[in-house]
Amino acid sequence: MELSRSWRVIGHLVLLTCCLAVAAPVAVVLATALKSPSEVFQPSLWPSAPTFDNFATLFGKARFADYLWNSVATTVLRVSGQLVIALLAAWAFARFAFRGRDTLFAMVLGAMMIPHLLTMIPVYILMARLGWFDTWAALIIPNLAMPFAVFLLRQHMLAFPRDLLDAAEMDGAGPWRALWRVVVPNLAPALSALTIILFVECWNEYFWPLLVTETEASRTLQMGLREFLESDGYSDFGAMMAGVALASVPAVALFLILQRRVMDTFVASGLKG
Amino acid sequence: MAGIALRNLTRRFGDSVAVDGLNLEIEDGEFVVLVGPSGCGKTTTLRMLAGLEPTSEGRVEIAGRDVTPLPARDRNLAMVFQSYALYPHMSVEENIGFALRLAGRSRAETAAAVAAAAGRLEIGHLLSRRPRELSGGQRQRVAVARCIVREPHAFLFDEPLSNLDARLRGSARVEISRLQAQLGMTTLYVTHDQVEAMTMAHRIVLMEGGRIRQQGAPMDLYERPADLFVAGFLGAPAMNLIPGVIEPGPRGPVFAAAGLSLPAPLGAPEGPATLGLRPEALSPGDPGPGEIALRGRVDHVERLGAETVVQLSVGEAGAISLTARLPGAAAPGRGAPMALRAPVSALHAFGADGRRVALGAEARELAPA
Repeated sequence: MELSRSWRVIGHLVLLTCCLAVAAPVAVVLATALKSPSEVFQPSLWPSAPTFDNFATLFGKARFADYLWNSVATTVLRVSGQLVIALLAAWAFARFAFRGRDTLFAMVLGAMMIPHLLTMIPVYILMARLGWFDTWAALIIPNLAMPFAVFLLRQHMLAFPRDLLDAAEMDGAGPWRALWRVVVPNLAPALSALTIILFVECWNEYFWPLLVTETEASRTLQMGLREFLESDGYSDFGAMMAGVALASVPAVALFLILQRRVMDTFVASGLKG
Repeated sequence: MAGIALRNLTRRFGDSVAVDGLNLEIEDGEFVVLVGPSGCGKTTTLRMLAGLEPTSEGRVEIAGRDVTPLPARDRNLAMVFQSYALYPHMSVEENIGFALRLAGRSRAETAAAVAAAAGRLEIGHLLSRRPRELSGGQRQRVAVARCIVREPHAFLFDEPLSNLDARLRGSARVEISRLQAQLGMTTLYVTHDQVEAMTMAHRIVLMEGGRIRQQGAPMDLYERPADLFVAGFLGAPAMNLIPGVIEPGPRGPVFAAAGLSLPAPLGAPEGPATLGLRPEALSPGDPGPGEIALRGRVDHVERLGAETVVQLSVGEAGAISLTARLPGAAAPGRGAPMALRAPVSALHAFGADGRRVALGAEARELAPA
């Protein structure tokens, strides 16, 4: 149905407002990151003399590089681990008939329903007892098994064309090789979407690292940014915004890289006649 | 290539039996077509042979070896699927060579084998393409190339032509038959299309309800159907089947139905029976010696160019509907009366239990000179 001109104008105005609501804070962050300390609290959005001093401060005064390394390494390890574990668990649920399969899967679904905050304190105590406090292990290992990821991939695997699995088996592929050589390449859209979700969740995580990290050796980027709020009783908003801008780059980049693959549903288009 | 034997093969799904104690031997190099209506168990049989479906009972032997407990990947069989099942993320070359790479063949060896198979199927120029960039016919060729490159014990085809248009299907039939003959491939081909079965098979195995109804050379089944089901299934248009009764007459037994009285095939016992007559056995005109006469009114005419298919009502009050396949030049008008004749030797008779009891041709052989 074609909308009338007035409704289209209203629709565009609503969408424009939404876009501005999302874009305005981003613009403030970028502009503040480029302002000199004297200009940070000036009402004008754009700095009179843009400067990259704030970015220099990040790597100079603070241990931004260390935080960045901690964030990158723990995120890559955690997301990779989450993907591998979810893939294998989903494959087992989707491909094999074994005793207790449905009960186990019901437990996975049940785990999805439990709020993260409820398990946080017991896991925190466990970390302390294992001596993992203030280590990468505490940031990575408790979060490796993601029920949501298992559920999502299992559903995609159940919908996977049966003929392709049969063809792989006829070609001599066992379940292991069928998974890696046939299923995984064709689940790229689902895996890309999942990677974005898991990456953003891990990269932006604040509360759990706050609980289990203490020293700069294991502190992540999101934690490190806090330093600019408190050091010497003076909040360096310029440096903080520069940090926020840099911290956003990986998530935005990952989304831009994987977005096309998410859209690409080539399993179906490759089979239709 | 190797021979295949299915012994007492059974597949149950809960209470229902999809394949019921099937016994079938396929000779080395033979082209056997499993044909039957939907749900007759033909695809389940093929999948049990392939190892993609577990057997409830029975045994699968390939080259004299019991392979029933082996998974599909260890049976060395190749299969063309109805959907072709080409891997969408691989190029045509990778698709064809996938099994060889899995088997540990070197890249060079695989490339040479792929090139040879692609050359044979005339798809050498498509090797770098993805399946989604191919037409239906090209995909079908790639699927066949993927099979022949492996040099398996036998080839399995699961309705491979059903996604092609009619013209392409005709040429694909010829091509598969030629390839099968050239390579001497032991082949089990599943289809519901009787034209494919008739034109391609060395031997047709006609299934219904999980069992084999009849098997034999295509023309054997066509000319000597064992029962009403086979008679009705093979042939397009289908055989005319007229229910009636065989009773004694002044000059020997006659078949009577709705005011129709025809000489019964010799040897057919008296009692309820069904008379069968192929549409192409009917021709226009008055009967000569050894022929029966049928008079009726034309209900419907389908002109196909080379032939004309006519629906007629015959017998008392036009109670019996007959189909006649006449030469293309025959152009009866709708509603017009029409005289048809058919040789007595073309008549089939089936008893009350549906089994064939006599055939005109056989009767003639039996008749005293």
